[in-house]
Amino acid sequence: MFFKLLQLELFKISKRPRTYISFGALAVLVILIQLALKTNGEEFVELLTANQGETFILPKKEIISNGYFVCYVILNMLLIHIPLLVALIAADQISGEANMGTLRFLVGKPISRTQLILAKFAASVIYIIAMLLWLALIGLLGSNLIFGTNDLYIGRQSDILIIERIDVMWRYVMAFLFATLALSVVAALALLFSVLSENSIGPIVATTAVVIVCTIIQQLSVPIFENTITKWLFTIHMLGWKGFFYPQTFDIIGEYSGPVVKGTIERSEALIKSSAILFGYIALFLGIAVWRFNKKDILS
Amino acid sequence: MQAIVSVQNLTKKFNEFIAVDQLSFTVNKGSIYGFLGQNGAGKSTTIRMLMTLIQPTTGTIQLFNQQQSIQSLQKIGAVIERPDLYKYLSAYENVQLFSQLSKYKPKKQEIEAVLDLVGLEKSRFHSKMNTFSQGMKQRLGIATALIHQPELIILDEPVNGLDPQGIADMRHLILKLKNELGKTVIVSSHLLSEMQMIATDLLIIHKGKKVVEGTVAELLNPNMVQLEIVTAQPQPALAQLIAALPFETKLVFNENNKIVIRTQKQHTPTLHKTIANSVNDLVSFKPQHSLEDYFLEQIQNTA
Repeated sequence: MFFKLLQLELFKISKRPRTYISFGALAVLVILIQLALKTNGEEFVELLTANQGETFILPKKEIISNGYFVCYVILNMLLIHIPLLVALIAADQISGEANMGTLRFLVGKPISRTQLILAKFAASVIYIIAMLLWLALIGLLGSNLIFGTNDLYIGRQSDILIIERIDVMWRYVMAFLFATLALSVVAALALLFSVLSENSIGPIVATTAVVIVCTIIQQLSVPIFENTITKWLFTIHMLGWKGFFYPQTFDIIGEYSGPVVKGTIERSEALIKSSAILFGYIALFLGIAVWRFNKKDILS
Repeated sequence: MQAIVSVQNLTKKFNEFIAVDQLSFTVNKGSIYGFLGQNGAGKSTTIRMLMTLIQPTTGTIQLFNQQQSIQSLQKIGAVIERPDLYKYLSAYENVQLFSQLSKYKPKKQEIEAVLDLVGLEKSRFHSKMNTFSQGMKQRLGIATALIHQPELIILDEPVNGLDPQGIADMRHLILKLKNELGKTVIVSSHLLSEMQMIATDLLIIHKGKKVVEGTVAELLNPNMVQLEIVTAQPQPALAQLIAALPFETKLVFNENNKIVIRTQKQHTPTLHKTIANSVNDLVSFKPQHSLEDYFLEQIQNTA
């Protein structure tokens, strides 16, 4: 029955006009960034590599004539905002049904509430995957077509890491997989708020507020937060995808890194830890949502 | 008679507010069971408890001779309050979706047949629900309740918001469900006249409490008379009446702990005499003429 429920949830999501807003918004944003980088790419690279530019002579034209680099820029800009698009769908899953009046018809059917919540979460995850595939299609493949491909220059503090083009694609695949996990935390949180509410706006605003508050806390580099909660915030672990673009380097010359080692990532243990924490958050949020929903009187 | 719904001492409290109070009733197979009460009487709360939407505070619910469970919902089709279905889906898609949620896979012809049965025009089968009138939504709601061929249909205020023609159509449809399809139907309403026309059995509730339960034939039979007896000591009075009455009667306590007595109209003079002579501490007794009189009187008494 779970897969039947999942299929029905996906059917409902596919039939709602709201679903396509996210895809449209992403397309517009990606095209705008691509257009900007196509016309003023070199200026953008100069601004972006201000720290490294004092030390290195950077081939700005080569850096920007690279779809991989453009996609990296797009991900940096958008992966902070995509949670809001996820909240639009996931936060509406239960509260939207309550608001529409369909929840009482749904729960009055011979299906377990736990299965219903899990099916709705799974549908949200599939929606996230679809959105990231769309982003990969227009942001990565589209950029590769428009800008061509080249070795990827990644700036990190005062370093420049140069990843050979042959060593890039798998990093994107892993980054997109990690992003799916990270955004699933947002979906689980949104679903939890959705269970607690009977209108759609409240859970969307609440999810967005939590993401914003956590992001602000992690950006406040003060000991009171850094030594206590910052390392446990899910928003800080959501940025773990960047780790796939920080490879190991061969040797250290002074304070600078040497050439990168193909097929490696510098701190795999940190990525594993982040993944575990994100899975933990999903389990926590979903667990509370299931518990609460099973006890909830459907009065809508 | 086979009971397919049996409710015992059902109570639902929302914090301090008691929405349903020690309610017991039985719905027999093949009946149209009218659930009558004013707005806020507790009808919808009770129906929601039958449908597992609300958890009872105390009491038991048996459906189809088994303890209420999620599985028992497979044999029930319900339209609870407004028929709020998916507005962005068509009538056909709504019926298809709800049938699958009931673990039933209908053929295209079955979906069309049920939409036809409830009187939805064929040209609107594939129209989005947000273009429907209230009457059409109500029909579609019933179609989604019927598609998986349930034994029991629960309709909560099905004539709300309908015009006179729509009310008449709904009445015919409910009668058709019982008479032609052999379904058991629970209909809740605050409209006495409608209930009198379609129900075979009635439960009247007020402020969450049962006022009376019985067949419509019993409650409305012109050859029957019903009296309510008020005494200072109802328990001994009931025993005294049982011993003294020389003909067949139905004697029950109502929710206000008053004795309600029903018997053939021809026995009225004897009945009056017997009550006056045999009941100690008699305060009053008065006849109840129609269901509406009875209903209104009970409500005034419990107010």
